[in-house]
Parts: sequence; C-alpha cells; structure tokens
Amino acid sequence: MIPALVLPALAALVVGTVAAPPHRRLHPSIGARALALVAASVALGTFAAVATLAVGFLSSVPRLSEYLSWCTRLTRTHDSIPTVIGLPAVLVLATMTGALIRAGGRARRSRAPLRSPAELLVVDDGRPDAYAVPGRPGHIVVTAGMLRLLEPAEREVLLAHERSHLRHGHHRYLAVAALATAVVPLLGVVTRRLRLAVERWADEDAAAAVEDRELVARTIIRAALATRDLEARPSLGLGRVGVPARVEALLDPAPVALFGPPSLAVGAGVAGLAIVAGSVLQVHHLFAFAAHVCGV
Amino acid sequence: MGELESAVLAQLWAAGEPLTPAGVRDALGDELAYTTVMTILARLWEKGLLKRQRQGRAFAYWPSVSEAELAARRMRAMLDRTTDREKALASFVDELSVRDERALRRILGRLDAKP
Repeated sequence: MIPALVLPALAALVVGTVAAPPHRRLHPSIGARALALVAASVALGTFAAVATLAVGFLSSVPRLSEYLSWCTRLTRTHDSIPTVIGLPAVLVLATMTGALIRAGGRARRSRAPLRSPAELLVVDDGRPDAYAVPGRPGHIVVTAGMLRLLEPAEREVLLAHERSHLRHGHHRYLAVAALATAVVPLLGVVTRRLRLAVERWADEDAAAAVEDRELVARTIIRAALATRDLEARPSLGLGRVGVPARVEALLDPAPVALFGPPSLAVGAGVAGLAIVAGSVLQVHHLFAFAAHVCGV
Repeated sequence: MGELESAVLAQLWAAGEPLTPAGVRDALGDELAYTTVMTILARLWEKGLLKRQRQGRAFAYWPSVSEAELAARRMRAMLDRTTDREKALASFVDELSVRDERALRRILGRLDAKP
C-alpha cells in the first residue's frame, strides 16, 4: 500500500520538476495554465499522500486511535504503517502545513487595496519602476522616473503589458504556484517557469496591442537596463523576469494560436499528469470520508 | 476611455511641466481629436488627479499627487522593506548578468539602427 501511495507522488514530482519548458512556438498562455495546473496537482497529490500516511500511522498509536476513530474508514483498509515511515510523515505533514499557513498569510498581507478613480497610479519617484497591483479594479503603479524614461509609444507598451497582467489575473497563477512551492519546495523550478510564462503572456498581449513586436522588445530592454539597479522583488513588473529570453521570443515571429496540434499535445500531457497526481489523492477515501461524515 | 486617460496622465507626468490640450495631443503623436483630449483632461481634473491654471485661452494641466498615489507610495516602501527579509525566497527573480546586459545593449543598438 505504501509504494502504491508514494510512487505516483514521486512520479508526479519528477515529471513536474523536470518537465520541459513550454515549447517556444506555443502561445505562453498555454504554458502558464499548464504550469499552474502541474504545480497544483503535484502539491495536492504530495500533500494527500503524506497526510494519508501520517493519519494512518497516528491512528495505529493506541492512545490516539480513539480520537482518530472518526477517520478509520480512511485508514482501516490498509496495512499498519511502520514508525520508520509514519513518524517522518507526521513531521513532514506538520512542516508542510506550517509552510502553507505562512504562505497564505503572506499572500493575504501583501494585498493592500488601492482606492483610486484612475487605472494608472503614478508614484512621484525618480527611480524607474512599474508593476501591476491586482484588485477590483486593479491598478498599474508606475514611477515618474519610468514615465520620463520611456517615449510615448513605449509607455503604451508598458501600460498594455501591465493591463494584461490585471486582465488575465496573472497574480492568481503565481499565488497557486507560491502555495504549491510552500508545500513542495522542489516546485520552485515550476514557479520560475511560470513567472517567465506570465511575463511572456503579457509581452504577447502588448505586442498585439501596439502591433509591433520590436517596439515591445525595445521597451523591455530599456526598462530592464534602467531597473537593473533596483532590488529584485517578486512583483509583476515589465523589465524584471527572464528579460533575455523574452526579448529573443519577441524578435521571433508571433507564437501560434491557441488551438493548434502542439497545444493539444501539451494539453494531453498535462491532463495525464493531473490524473497521475490525482490518483495519489485516492479519491475513494474522500468518498468514504464524505459518506461517513454525512452519516450514510 | 480608461486607457486613454492613463496615456494622458502618463504623458503629463513624463512632461514634467504643465501642458495644454494641444501640447498633450502633440506629445502623444496620435490621431486624437482635440476635443477628446480636452474631455479627458477635464475628467481627470474632476477626479482630482490633475491641477490646472488658465494659460491664454486654454487651461494648462499638471498632475497632482492623490491620496491613492500616497497609498501606492507607502506600499512601495513596504515592498522595499519586505524584500530584504524574503530575498532568500525570492531567488526566482533573476538578475541581469553582465553578459545579458551586453547582449541586450547590442540588440537595442541593432533595433535603433533600423529605420
């Protein structure tokens, strides 16, 4: 039972972390969605596997078993779990839960609503900087220094780029990845690729808005060179993540539309992975649990 | 209309001096109608995002720092502070290496050289 529980989790973990970066010719919106799904599936699967082991182990401890009797339906069909595996599982579960709670708290705290009648908020600061602040409605925060640095056409690129972050809710993808990475630190690789994918997505939207790929590339380079002295910080900014790769992609032809054969292939791969990860969830346990709680 | 407002507001911040509707239109270099620019400026002024003063027959506008902008400024300061603590976690934000920078400058030169 233990290998059956752990192997799919390991498989999902390996696939999730070494999965090739989304293909260059694909629209980055596909890559971003796929990566967020991978991160969520792997984290959920791993968490469920560890939780099942931990609860199974704890319920075999005599003093605890009566407190945990409500969930014997979850565990009684399986062999008892040896201490060598059970105890670490309990510790890992505690660590994961702690990390999850901390990450959730961080995400909540960083949400400071800005009340403004305008879409654009300018901070009177000479250092060039720009980022999107999600909300209802979201806002684009730009420093006066950044606006002075760019020409009017480049400012349109900047605004279109940040608008894309807000319109597609890119912060939600990043929040999913941040929570998943809190549970499974190995998913940091997926998070990095996801950050690049959402920036590429916003770049492509900006290129479509101004109908000039080279103008977008030029704007990103200028913003990146100007902001390179700023402290790196995890926000959705124009010239911050994966700049060389993004410029290269913009100087290539536009990526293919959403529903070509390559995107179907990626979709199938991701669906397969999600199923593998989902199998770790051992859905029948959830049904048994729900039936038990509902008194069926 | 919100997008045009942002473009006009950005232009006024970039200019660093009061601009009349004609000045804004010239700077943006778009095919914007004069009346459109005037309407947008008046609306931004009503929202308290601009200040204005009569200059000849038109108004000259410049940006005012609003409550929300002060809030954005505070948030920015907060982001600056949290960065130090979370720098270890924030390794996913890559920095521009010297080699990257040189390559980017080369590309920029090539793009600028094009007509």
